[in-house]
Amino acid sequence: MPVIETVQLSKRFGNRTVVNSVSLEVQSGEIFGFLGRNGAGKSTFINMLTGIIHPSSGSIRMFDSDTTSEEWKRRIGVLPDYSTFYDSLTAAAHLHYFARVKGVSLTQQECKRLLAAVELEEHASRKAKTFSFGMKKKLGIAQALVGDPELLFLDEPTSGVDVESALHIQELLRSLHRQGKTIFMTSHNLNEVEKICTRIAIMKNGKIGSLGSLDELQSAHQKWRHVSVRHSAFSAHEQATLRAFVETLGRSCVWGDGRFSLQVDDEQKVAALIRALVQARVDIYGVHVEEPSLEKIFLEEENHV
Amino acid sequence: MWAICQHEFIRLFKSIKSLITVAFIVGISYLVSDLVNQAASFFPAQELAKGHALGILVLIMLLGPLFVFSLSHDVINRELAGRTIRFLVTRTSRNKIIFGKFLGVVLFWLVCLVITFGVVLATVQTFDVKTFWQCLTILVYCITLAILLSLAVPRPSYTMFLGIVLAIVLPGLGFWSALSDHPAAQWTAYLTPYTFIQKGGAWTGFIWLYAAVFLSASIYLFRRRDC
Repeated sequence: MPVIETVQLSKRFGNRTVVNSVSLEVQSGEIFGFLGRNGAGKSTFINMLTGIIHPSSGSIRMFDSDTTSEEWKRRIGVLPDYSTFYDSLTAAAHLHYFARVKGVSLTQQECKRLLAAVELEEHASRKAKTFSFGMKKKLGIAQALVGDPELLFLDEPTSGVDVESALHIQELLRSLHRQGKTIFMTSHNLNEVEKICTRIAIMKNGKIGSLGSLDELQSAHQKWRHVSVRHSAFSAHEQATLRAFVETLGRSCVWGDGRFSLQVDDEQKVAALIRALVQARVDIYGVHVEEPSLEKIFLEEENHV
Repeated sequence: MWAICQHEFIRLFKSIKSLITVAFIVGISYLVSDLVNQAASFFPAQELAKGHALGILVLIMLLGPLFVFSLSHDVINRELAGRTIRFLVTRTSRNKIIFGKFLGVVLFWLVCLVITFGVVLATVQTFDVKTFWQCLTILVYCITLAILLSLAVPRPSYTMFLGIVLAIVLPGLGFWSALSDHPAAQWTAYLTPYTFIQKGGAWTGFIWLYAAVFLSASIYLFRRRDC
């Protein structure tokens, strides 16, 4: 069941179209990664989904119903892109206040558990104005989790936090995913998105350029795979025969001492290459097929006109 | 809505500016009561009872707008500028945010009035319900206008300035309209709450009507606004 469904969603600020007719479905239980460079329209899109800003045109459906009634707000948790808190409230008081605004109860124990989940339990009674940027980000995640929402919108959840905390947050997101929560997140950390997201969209100039699982993106973006083989020595005659065969399989063949590499456009050709080497009684020490990283896909998408 | 109301109410009571304002109103009310008491021999008992509360009414009429605008000129735009509003709009409806803010500020002034009239009651054992209602009416008019101002103007520093200007213009216009023979005074009189207070009775209903219009306009603006 789609928990988020947008049809031709657009947002214009004056003459500038920031989000341009985006139609998207996010299924229940997904960790959906939303990528794009600064100004691509990611935050504007997430802000429209969460009711922070109004779309110029198009429609949004949440949990299979329209957003005219406010009931869906009880089922979501949001970490906005820019989190500032009330100067006068402590971390714990923020969570209690936001729970009451949402109309849900939050016990002391639940409050402690939420703060512990983001490693802020020792700072529960400290005022948020004394927090560092990273701590505010963590408090932002904790407040998003108030009321045990089914769907989480996280705008750059790990930006500005230290490496250890970022790993902790990634683990928290994985654990929420295991609990069946749907997570819609934006990030500039491609490694993080690659590790935890089940589906990824790359946004460019207000439109979605690429969409799919990492495997699907890799398949779509990499026509030529780089294959390198380490092998035992063979005679000049064997090498000439193999060389002729290998060069029919792919392109950019490079021959070295005990190794060669080439680019192939089909996975079946990797299998054919290995079969040929085995039949020629060449000992294979290693075969490495290089899959494109998300970084490579992202850059390719960004540079694609 | 009640959480926002409570938050706003507590926030106002925690602010030093609010405490000074409350202390000022209570202090002036006490002084006026004391002054009227000293002049007790010159007035009949019925007039004397009115005299105590009249001091508070004059104070609210003259300085009420200034008190309200100085404390609540940024009731919404403070949260818009600081983006804390995003935590609210993603949790509840925009109508409830406006009503919550409105009720929180009204509750604060209601408590202030109760304290002020309580001081009069303790000093001279009189509680003028009519004057209490008139004071509350003027304050509600100012509160809804402050909310509207806070939504129409995005920057708190601008609303601070405009609030002070309005706090001078409103009573000035009100009293000029009441005292002047100028033709324009006949209609400007109906823009401020003072003429309606002067006419009394059902006329005060128009002040509440103005408040309802200001509040509706605030809701309309907020519903259209990006946060």
